[in-house]
Amino acid sequence: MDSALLGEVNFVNFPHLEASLARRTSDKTPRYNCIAWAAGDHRRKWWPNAGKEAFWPHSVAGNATTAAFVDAFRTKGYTECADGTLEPGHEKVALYVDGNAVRHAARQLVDGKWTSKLGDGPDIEHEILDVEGPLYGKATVFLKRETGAARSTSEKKRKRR
Amino acid sequence: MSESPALAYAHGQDDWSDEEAPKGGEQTAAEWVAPAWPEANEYIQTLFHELHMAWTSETACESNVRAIIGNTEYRQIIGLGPPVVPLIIRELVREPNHWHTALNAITRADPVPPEHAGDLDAIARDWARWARLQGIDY
Repeated sequence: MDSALLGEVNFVNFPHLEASLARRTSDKTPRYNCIAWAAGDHRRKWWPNAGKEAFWPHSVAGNATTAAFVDAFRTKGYTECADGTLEPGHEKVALYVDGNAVRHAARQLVDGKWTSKLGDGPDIEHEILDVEGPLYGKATVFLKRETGAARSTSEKKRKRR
Repeated sequence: MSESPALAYAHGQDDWSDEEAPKGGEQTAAEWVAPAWPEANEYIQTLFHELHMAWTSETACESNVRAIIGNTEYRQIIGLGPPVVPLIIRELVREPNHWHTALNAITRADPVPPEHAGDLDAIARDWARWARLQGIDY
């Protein structure tokens, strides 16, 4: 693990992280959280039913259930998929769930690794299992959408039809 | 029934009518001066900083915003009451964080428009502006 992460995280919450090859990729900041980061928004926090402390799409139910988070990512063009395997032309999001409560989200990078924002801490690049544990639960729900280039090609094809 | 002068003050009202103005002695609305915001003594300042450190440490990796503002130390900061408002404003100007809930609970004011939800920088600016209008020295 990147030594720059030492002191930032409590490894009791992340039993796989200490021995991993995860590396820190940003300074810590409270300005956005993992859900916002996975949704591509680094200007504000996302969370349901948190008043003015967090943004949540108006059309989506205000609870922390898996269904509500899936709906929130649908507003960004994502649909549910089977797993987190790398699919060229697609970007994926993993929802980490404990029971039926979503605890964390990570976004897949083009090389198949994942990027996460650790609460108010830094962004890290990691393998999908690295942040599983008692705080975030397990990566259980996966969503995908076409990447920017693939998306514009699909839109052109649809317009031609 | 209209709210008390102190509550209206907390809500940012500064244009008193004669009827709403405090009725102390011969004082008129034009003469009335908003009371200074209560200052935190050394004990409150120390307690605030200890609770603040504990709150940020305990919630450092927390994604759940409701858990962050429901944290025990955070609730204890709210319990310290009006004297911590200038300390919170100073802290949010230094580094924006989830201070809206605490400030709203203590002052009953809400200067944050709905479109700023989740934008901690914008929320910090909203509260700093509110504090300046109240004459709060932070």
